[in-house]
Amino acid sequence: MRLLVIEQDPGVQALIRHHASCRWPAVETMVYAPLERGTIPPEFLAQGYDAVLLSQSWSGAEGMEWLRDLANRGGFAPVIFMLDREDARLRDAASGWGAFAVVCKQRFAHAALIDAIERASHRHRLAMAEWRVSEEARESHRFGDAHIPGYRRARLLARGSVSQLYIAESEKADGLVALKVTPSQRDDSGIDQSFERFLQEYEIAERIRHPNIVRLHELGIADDHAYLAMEYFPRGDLRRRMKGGLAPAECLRYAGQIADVLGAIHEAGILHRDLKPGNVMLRTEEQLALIDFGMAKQAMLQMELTDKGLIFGTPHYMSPEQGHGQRLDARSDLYSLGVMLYEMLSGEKPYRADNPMTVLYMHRNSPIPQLASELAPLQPLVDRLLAKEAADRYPDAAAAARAIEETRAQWLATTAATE
Amino acid sequence: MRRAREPLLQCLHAVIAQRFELWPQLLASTAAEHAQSWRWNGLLNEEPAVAAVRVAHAIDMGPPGLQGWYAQWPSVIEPAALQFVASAAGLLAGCEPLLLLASATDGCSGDAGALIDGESCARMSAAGFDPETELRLGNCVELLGSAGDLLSVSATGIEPVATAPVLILGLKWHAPAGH
Repeated sequence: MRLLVIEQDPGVQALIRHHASCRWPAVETMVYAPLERGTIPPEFLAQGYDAVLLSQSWSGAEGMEWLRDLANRGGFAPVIFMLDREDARLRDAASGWGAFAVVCKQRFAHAALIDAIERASHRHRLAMAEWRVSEEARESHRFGDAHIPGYRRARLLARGSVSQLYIAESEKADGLVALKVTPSQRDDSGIDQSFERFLQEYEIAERIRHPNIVRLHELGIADDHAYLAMEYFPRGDLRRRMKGGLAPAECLRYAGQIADVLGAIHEAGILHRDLKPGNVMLRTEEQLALIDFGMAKQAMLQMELTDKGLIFGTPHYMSPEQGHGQRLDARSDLYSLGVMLYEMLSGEKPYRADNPMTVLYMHRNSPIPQLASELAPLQPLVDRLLAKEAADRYPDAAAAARAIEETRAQWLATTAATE
Repeated sequence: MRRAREPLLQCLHAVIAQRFELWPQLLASTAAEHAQSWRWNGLLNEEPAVAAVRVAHAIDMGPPGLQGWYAQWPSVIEPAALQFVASAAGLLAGCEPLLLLASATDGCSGDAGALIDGESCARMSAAGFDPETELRLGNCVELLGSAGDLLSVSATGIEPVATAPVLILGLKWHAPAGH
């Protein structure tokens, strides 16, 4: 038995978990706290759950609106609507809007809840059994040329030159996942390079286990394709967040989180090498998660150049040494963090030019740009992170994280004093 | 706390419709199966609300493991075992490793007893009940049911024992080594 509970109140979450576990000791109860996680993505159908328990309200009366949305998604798991208190009018309305059953949180009754879940589960299992043998189900497991059981394709998110990124619903993971699928690319010795690259990402995330690192769910092979199922971020990446404008304290908080996770990565002997806002995702408005370790390398390895002389990475966020094919260490990632911090604070990249090679040249030779005068107290931090010579930057990510936190505390204190 | 419920439920199962003289032995062996220490305390003489205080204190102050009692309360309006457990719920509130079970053992079906823990009171409140008020009103069945704590014994197929006492078990939970 698997239940999804959409409820903000921890007391009610615990109550439902307890009731369900008394009846089904092995029940899996996943909680979706709407205020933290926001609206449920439109692609999600909760098909891996036996029933969804939806609260009437968390900060207003949003549950009714959610009910109308969820219950009308074709194939969505049965919704048991939980009224705050008995109200015949609302009960009828909820039924009319597609609730499979309606229970009341006030003077909660064990038997009513268990009966509703049992009936919902029975109906959903019948519906899923029918669906699984349908052509639609077979088609939904198709990701390009690969047929991947256990995942329902929701939509294609991005198509790269080699791999495709899909949003999919997993039967095992808690909700939607991002599924990266790429055809096998075997080299002369028969090694599947695609799989090896995914394996590297998987190993890094497994090894480091940090709250600011993407969660990876599964790595597999299907139909001569490698696939990697990972956490999906409906809020998008830091680029999107920057477009809306960020307060300086927020910029510093985000930068602090990135420095913190870089500390963990570097401690494990790994350089990220491709830090950029597109690789920093928003798990919540407050918490970031770093993705894409496909470029990551064991620290101290020399920069690689392709046969055509192209440099891996994104020129705008590259350290001078990375842009010039020199040896890299952890301080190169700190430079990229400095670029992101500058961009968050000013809304612009520090060095802009018409072609990438000029940008690389500017990283090495142009003076560090100055922040607007009102942000002057933050300039020393930016200067240190964007120092041309690695030796002039913070010695490691932990030192950078401390400096960012101190700067943030000073900024908040100054701001509070002037208000 | 799901795993912590198991030894209590299996102890209850072990003695239902069994002769009272066999209880200490049956309970001791069930406790041993779950690697819990065991102590048999005998009869509780007080009325349910007072006995609740005694038992809550004993399991709170006692060593980790299982303790057992029995009582012979007459049930007037609703099962005395439920009055006892509902009274104890407030006393154990917030004490996470403590659990308490009280149940009739006559083998009849119905709401025979309840199994509460340190979070029962919080669940009752979350379920829209004020434990003190409901206790005063004698609404123990609904109150314990709201927290998911009622033990509904389905028909066992065993011949009911008319004079069977109430079984009371307290557990200060500790996960057995190796689990």
